[in-house]
Amino acid sequence: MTRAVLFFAATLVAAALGLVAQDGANSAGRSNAQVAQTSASDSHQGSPQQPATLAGANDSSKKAATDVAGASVQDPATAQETAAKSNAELPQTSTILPLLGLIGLGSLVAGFFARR
Amino acid sequence: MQVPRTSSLTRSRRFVKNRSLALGVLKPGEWRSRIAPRKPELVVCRASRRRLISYVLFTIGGVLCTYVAGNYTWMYAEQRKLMHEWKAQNASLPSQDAPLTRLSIPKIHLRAVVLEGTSRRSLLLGPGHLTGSADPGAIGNSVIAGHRDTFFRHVHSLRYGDDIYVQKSRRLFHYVVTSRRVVEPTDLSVLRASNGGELTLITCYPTHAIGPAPQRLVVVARLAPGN
Repeated sequence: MTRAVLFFAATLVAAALGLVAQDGANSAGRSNAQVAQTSASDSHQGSPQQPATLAGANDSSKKAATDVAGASVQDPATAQETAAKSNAELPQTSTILPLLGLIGLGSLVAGFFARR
Repeated sequence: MQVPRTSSLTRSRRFVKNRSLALGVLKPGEWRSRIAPRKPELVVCRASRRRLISYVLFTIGGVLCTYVAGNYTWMYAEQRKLMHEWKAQNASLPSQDAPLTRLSIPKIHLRAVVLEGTSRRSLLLGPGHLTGSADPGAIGNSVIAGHRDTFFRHVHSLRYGDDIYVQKSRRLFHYVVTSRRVVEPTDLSVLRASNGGELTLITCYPTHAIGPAPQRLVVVARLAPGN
């Protein structure tokens, strides 16, 4: 029983570490230019790190509107160029959060059985 | 008469005991003393080890569950804040100065404010508009990506003719779904420029899988006539 629980725990930890490493490798593939661009855009969009009071939001909104207007002038093919820069892949739209939640629940259940 | 079922270990022990007693190797009463009793310190050690393992597992589980729940709560709170901000901007600012875009798809009950960029943080808080693609409502291909486990969870159920609305700068743009396909992550043809108003929604595929996604689900919609 103890060995089984140990094995299960080790598997969970290894799976979590592997996934985190894989996720980190995926995100590291992005170009620095795009990361800087998106983070700048995020800050304009009233991001949570800058809680937006309404007055402050108006200023940031104007800036963002300017940016958006600037973006619309760009050639539509720039999307492909941007994606090509970012490791030539479509955006990564999966997270490891559900898996981490599942592993967490599994750990709790395994802990409960190990205690009995 | 029903014979009680015993494990193979018990049966083999009983066999050895009976055979030993029969051969005179052991006298009756000596059998129990020959079996080594469990040492109390060993029992205590094993119990404490199991308790330690259970504590470790509880800790790992608690940390992971709290982390995941915290992330989802943060996402929900920020999206609500963005929605309030979007409403306030629509009410107060002139039409050309409202930068936030709201995406709504009635069929899947989706209403979310679109963030600029497709960084991990942007996509955690809401659907992200791919930097460099056309603005929603404008001529060109506007690309919006979203997580399959949160905002774009039901995007896979969109079919030909379904409605997608984009509200930006007090203007409502109506899109109609024209196609839906699964592509490889390296297939950048879905980002191609378009002569008309086109909206491309990207999420991960398989939709209900857990973990890294090997493919992408792409839903393409065209601006409906009259916009």
